[in-house]
Amino acid sequence: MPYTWRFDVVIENLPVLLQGLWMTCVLTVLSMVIGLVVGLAIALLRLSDWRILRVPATVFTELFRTTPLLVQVVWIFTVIPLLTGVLLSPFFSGLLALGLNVAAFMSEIYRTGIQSVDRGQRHAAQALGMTSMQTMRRVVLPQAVMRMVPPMAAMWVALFKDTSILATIGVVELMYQARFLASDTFRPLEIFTVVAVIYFILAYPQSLVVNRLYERFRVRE
Amino acid sequence: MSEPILRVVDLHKSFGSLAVLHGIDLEVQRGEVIVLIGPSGSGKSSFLRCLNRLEEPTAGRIFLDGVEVTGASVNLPLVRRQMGMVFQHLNLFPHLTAIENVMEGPRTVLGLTKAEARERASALLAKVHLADKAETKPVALSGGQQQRVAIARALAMDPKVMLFDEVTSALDPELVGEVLTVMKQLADEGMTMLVVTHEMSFGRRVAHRVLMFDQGKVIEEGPPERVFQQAAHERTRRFLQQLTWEGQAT
Amino acid sequence: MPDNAPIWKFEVVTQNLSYLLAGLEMTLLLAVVSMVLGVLLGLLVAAARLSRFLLIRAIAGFYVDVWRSTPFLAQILWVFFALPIVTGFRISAFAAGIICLSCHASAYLAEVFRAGILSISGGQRHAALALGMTRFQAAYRIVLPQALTRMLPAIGSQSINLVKESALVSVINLQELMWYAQSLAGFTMRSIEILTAAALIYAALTYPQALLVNYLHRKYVVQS
Repeated sequence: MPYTWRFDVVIENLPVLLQGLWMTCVLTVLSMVIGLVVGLAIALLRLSDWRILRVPATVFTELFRTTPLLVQVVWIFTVIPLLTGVLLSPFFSGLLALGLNVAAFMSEIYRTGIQSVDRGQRHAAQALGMTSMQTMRRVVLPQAVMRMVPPMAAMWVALFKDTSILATIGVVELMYQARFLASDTFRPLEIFTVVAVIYFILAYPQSLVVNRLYERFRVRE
Repeated sequence: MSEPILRVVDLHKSFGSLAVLHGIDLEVQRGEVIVLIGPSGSGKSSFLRCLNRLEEPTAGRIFLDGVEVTGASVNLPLVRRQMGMVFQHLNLFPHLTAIENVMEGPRTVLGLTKAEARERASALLAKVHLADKAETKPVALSGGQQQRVAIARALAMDPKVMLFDEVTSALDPELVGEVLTVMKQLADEGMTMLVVTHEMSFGRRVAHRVLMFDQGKVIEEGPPERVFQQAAHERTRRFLQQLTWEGQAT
Repeated sequence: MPDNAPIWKFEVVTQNLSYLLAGLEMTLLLAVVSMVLGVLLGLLVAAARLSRFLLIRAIAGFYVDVWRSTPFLAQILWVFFALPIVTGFRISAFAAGIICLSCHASAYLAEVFRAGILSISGGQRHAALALGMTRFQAAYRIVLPQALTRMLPAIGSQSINLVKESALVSVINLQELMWYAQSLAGFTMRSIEILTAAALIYAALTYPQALLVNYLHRKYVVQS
């Protein structure tokens, strides 16, 4: 018997999916902001002259880069309340896990960006009598930013997709709604297909932008 | 006169709407050295690349040693191994040593054993005066040395014809001489050669015939003395003057 | 500190080590098999993306974009729950896991291979063809060996990602490390120790690879 597609089920439940999509977008934006800010702080710690600052920052980065995001999400959701006695909602623990995960990757982007600026540039600035702060702000960072933008944009796209993992701890975003509807309507084929298409339609143009950025900011040497 | 080793009949080549060769005819005798000159973009390099079909001719026929090499059913690898080619850009295989570069063709294409290929390659490296650089990787060789290895690499296939595509134009001036010396030595041994070059001294001393290319056509053809001293064509005279002037300027 | 401050009891980890190791075994199996299949499939897709025929290029491009522009979780749920409805065949969680991880990896690897191959100048290919090599010989004797050293770090990164992504197949009840960790955490009521142990096991799997990637990057990419 050929399968009868029932897309009306999807259309009926579209508001539920859109509500999830909204949460997906909120999560992406908020964790990106956390990642950008915390990531910069960690990058600066890692570039510090003091070992006592460098080592914890390095351990933090490596832990978040070497373990699966799912493990981080579940760990923060389950373990933090046990350790601190503070109950976190799925939303806040999910946001915390995603934000810190992004921060770890961001710190690497900041760090390699800063280190990629030719040492001669730093020397030239110092020869002009600039302080190390001025050198960083006026000479190094403007050049480093060009190299950081493309990987950061790529990070953004990855983050958009990764928010789906928060469904596993009950954050009501797009993927959560999809799993809920799939079992609620007994129509997993239609629901999962439409949700995959939604992710694709949103993520694919972003990845095209990322490609353009890589071409545009390719370091000309 | 015997059957020419290479015969080209009405060769055309265009890239889309841009025609780069308009009907070239040429017969090359065994042992003949032909030098192709002309301004850049005149089609001489494309002509060379059409001969071993690295570029596909749009129309026309090519015969190597009496056998047609144009047409869809031709075994291209078989054709190409009979025509050695050396390029302008230094493109030795960077992951292989000098001797491995020379052995690569005999090993993969001719199916020689490692020992046979090594023996052949050693002899050829000695011939281009690089026996002592056999185990060196290309990055550690000068441009002139790299081009001499490239010549040995092409000779290792025992080709019937050698094609040289501006092999000295990417080299520092002081390295040009050593490469031209090897090429002259090869010509003296009777190798059939087609040489695209801007080195007029080489043309004067080694060529049997000089072909002047302009806008996809051969506009002047003859022994070097005649082409260089009393060119029939105004374009040729101007081109040669320009070269000498540039030569004096640098 | 809250009143019910936990006392870390790591013996719960050693007591249940056999379960975690069983999970680890499955994680490794998934990662290794999917990596091998991903490399083979990735080479095929990369070749298709470099094809002379527009249609083949377009199909391969679409394949890569679909796997790269949707979340892995959506992929695994689709393959496990939706694909059987389309094909009429039920598949095991293991098969779904392998299919998803391999295809996912192959899409990323295809891009790595393509970029690596394109980074080798056309002159190298021409030089090989001029020696009389076939297109295939030129590709596998001259272009690929050079491209490979440049691609090694990126291939290593993909292998790390694969280990990390594999944790997500626990959502379809495939019994790998994360599945055992979550089950044990609930069963023993010692989620702190169990989940921390699981995280450390993952780190132990991927960190050496990360060091290797850094080493390869310095050796092959930065130098050239």
